[in-house]
Amino acid sequence: MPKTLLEVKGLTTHFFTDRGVARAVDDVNFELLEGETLSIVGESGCGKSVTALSIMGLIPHPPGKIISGSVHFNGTNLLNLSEREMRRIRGNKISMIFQEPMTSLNPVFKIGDQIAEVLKLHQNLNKKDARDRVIDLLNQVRIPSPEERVNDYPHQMSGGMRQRVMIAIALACDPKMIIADEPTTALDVTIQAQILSLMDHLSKSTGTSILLITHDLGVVAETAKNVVVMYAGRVVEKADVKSLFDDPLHPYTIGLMGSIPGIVAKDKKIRLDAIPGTVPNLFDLPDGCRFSRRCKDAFERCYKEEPELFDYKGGRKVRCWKYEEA
Amino acid sequence: MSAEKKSDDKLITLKNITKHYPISSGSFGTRKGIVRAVDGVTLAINRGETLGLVGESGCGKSTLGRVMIRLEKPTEGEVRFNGKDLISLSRKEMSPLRNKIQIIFQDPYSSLNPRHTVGRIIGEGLQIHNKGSRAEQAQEVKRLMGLVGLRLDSVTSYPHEFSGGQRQRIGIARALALQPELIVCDEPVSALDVSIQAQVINLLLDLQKEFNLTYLFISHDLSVVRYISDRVAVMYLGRLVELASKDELYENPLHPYTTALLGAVPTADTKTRKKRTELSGDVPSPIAPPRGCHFHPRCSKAMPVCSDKTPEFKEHTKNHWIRCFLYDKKAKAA
Repeated sequence: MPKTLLEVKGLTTHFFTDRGVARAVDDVNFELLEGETLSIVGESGCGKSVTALSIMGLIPHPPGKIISGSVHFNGTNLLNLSEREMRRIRGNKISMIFQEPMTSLNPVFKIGDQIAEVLKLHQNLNKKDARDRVIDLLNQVRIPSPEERVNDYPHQMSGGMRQRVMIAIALACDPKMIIADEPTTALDVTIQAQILSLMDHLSKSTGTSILLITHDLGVVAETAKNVVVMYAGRVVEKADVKSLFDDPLHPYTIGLMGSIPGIVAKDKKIRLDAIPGTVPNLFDLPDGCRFSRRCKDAFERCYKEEPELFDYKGGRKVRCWKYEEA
Repeated sequence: MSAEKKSDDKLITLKNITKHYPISSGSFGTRKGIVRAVDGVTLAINRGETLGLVGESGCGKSTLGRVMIRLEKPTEGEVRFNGKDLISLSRKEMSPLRNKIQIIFQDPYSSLNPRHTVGRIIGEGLQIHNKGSRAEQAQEVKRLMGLVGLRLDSVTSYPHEFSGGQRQRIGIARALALQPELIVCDEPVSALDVSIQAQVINLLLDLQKEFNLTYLFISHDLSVVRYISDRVAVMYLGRLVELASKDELYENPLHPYTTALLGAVPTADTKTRKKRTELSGDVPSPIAPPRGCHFHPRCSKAMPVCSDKTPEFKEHTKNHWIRCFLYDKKAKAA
């Protein structure tokens, strides 16, 4: 049985602005095992990125604040660490890959120097050793002729190549865990396929856990082992990937699957089962279940009381009154 | 079959369309090279059908769409709409035809003027083309808003007050205002969340049925294209490489690029978690495309002839067009 690497408990992050309080993440719980790929999936504004930034201690304060909860990583609560201590973990034990490889690399430094920066900071490598390690990393992320590409600037590389450099930076210190926030969203499908298979290969060969944040159910189906579905700041469903796709429980999850062409509706003769309406305003959340106003199955109780995350068979969890007895 | 009948009724035909952009630099504008965005595309869209146009970024699909509605003048080639040659028309002669061809853009944020009310944005075309009195125009704007599912009391609101999905509805209402026959949909749902994307796709299909609209549906999302299209064209580096009916193309793709492209799509189906044929490398630059077949440096089935000559776009089986030497017996033998 693999050990738990990351345990997020009751994580609640709010943003205090002139317009009021945005409840971006509300009582989020999940755990990530060693060597596992866990995916957090949801639409814009569901709180998936804020969850990731909260774990990394990167929530801009003000306006953002972690109100309550704990984030245990290898037994230490990251939320209790000072900024200095946190800096020793970021990029070292936990690293992050962002969506936009152009804006997350510094345009005026060579990519080799940007990878070496992490190594010098965390592992005190000298110039020569750092360079050897950089070339080794570029090889690992399958960048051709690394001895030459080391001296490239980001603008000389394509989007896919830049994302490989980001992955090399993330891998530099053999992290225990990588948080990948929409790592392939900005890429073309053929390049996305290359990057996903690279990440899969690297996590298997190094045993690194991956927390994959995405809006794309296709990416989830192909890469994750377990899935957390978020909606308007709440976890609404948790399941292993197979059960989630074979038998989605929460009306929101079912709605998402019906919305994507090809899963339920394969041809335009069958109408897409779109979810009506839009996501609620985080400044002014409805009473009861946050999905109730868009839910086909909602009944009276849903508009008044918010359901908890009920246990369901097979170790699954779902936040919906329909499953209270299950 | 209705598909047979339809195929005689071509609404728009493109013949050998080429669009090159010169790259110049310095104060004297010295020419440094040419971007071959579109390189000899021949294509027809039948009345009432949806033609899907897929390809990766930089393949020229958006440029082709813009040429089709004459936002861009092609370097070479011919565009005929209802039999009329659009390229030779003057600005003035083109004006009445602009009604008939409209476009919906990808980004619902930058394609609406932030200083105009929704009513003005939707009604602008009616004003320019003098359709009816002021009161009639206002009435028409309301009808259009109802049609696309916008609240009628939001006619005086500004774009920033709407969500992405609603903004896309505004863009659709604007495109519908002049009762077009052809709408170029350039990645109309790519910027939207999936639940909203489904609402907009349903709306586009409803409107097509109601007004017998013809769509060119440009997208990089192969699942959406499969769902919405009747026929699908695949583009790579400025050229069409394959064109067939939707079912034929997805079930029996012939061009190695199409096969790789379809194989790369992650499917939300855990049963078919597949070993894919991964395409190596990146799309080459359209400034210096490879000689011969543009795809040959990435193609697993490339033959010597592929780096030397450009394959023609040929009808391989009925209504299944392909540009590849693998399906050219003479070239294969040589």
